Amino acid sequence: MKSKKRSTPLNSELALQITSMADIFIIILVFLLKSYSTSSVQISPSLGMQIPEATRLQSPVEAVQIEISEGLVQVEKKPVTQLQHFAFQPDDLSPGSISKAVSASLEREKRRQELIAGSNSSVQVDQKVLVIADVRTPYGTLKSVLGAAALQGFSDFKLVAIQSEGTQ
Amino acid sequence: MTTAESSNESGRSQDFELNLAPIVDCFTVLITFMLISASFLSIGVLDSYPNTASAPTTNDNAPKETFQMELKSQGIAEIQVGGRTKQTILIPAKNGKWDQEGVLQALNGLKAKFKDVRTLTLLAQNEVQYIHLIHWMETLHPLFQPINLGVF
Repeated sequence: MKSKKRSTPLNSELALQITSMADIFIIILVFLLKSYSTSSVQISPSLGMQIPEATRLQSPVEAVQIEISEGLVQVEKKPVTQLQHFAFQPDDLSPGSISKAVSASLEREKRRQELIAGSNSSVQVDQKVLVIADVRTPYGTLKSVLGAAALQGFSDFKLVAIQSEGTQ
Repeated sequence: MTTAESSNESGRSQDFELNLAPIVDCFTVLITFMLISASFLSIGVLDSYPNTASAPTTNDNAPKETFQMELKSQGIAEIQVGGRTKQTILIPAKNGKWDQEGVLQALNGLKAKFKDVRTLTLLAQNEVQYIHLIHWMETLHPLFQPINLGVF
């Protein structure tokens, strides 16, 4: 079998057209820059957490973060107490069903805020608390955490949710 | 891509081609970085206060009545009017779930009766999951602001 051979020689200077590629990259970059979050509040839930969805949400604010996952309660990303399937250990609960460990941790946070506010007049003690809880969290557990927060003077709860595609 | 240059009489180059390769390299790095660090989920918050705290009010004349709604685990919702008037409305479950229409109808009726009440305390039995609480907070948001949570 006779193989076909090209009569014309191959162009040895094969240059890739980068101009169109640069155009595409500019468009992608502009889109990404536009959608880039500029919020100063960093909320990064733990792995495996399911955050609830809601449509009528307000912008998050900087505040003390409390996270309730299946096995752990964290305050400002520091583990505070262990949970067993969202339930507190019986010895961690006070007679009013308030978590002692969460209360102690929030008391430290409050004291820290007061210390900063004492030395800097432009800083005020904040009553806000960001609550990042798993959708499966029972109300009993949530109540123990929120009760501890309220006890320490954090009386403005900001319940974190994911903005869902709903009509306003 | 290479630059092609030609010289005129004075020796200065007139024709040139912009070298896009390093620009494309930068773009590739930037896009990769932004794709990794970009957050495509928008996060927001729902405002709430504990039932003991005094919620911000614009009027000094506090309402004489208070509304409280409790979600029971069997799908029953109990609405209580406290204060000067005492009233309890029990909304039975509908298909094993809370009857949203029934609850909204009852609350709209109460709101029409007690026009100065603007807040509601939401309670739930210990077994009720957080997702239901968020759903009800969102459902009741157009009627009551703020919605307090019963934590004590």
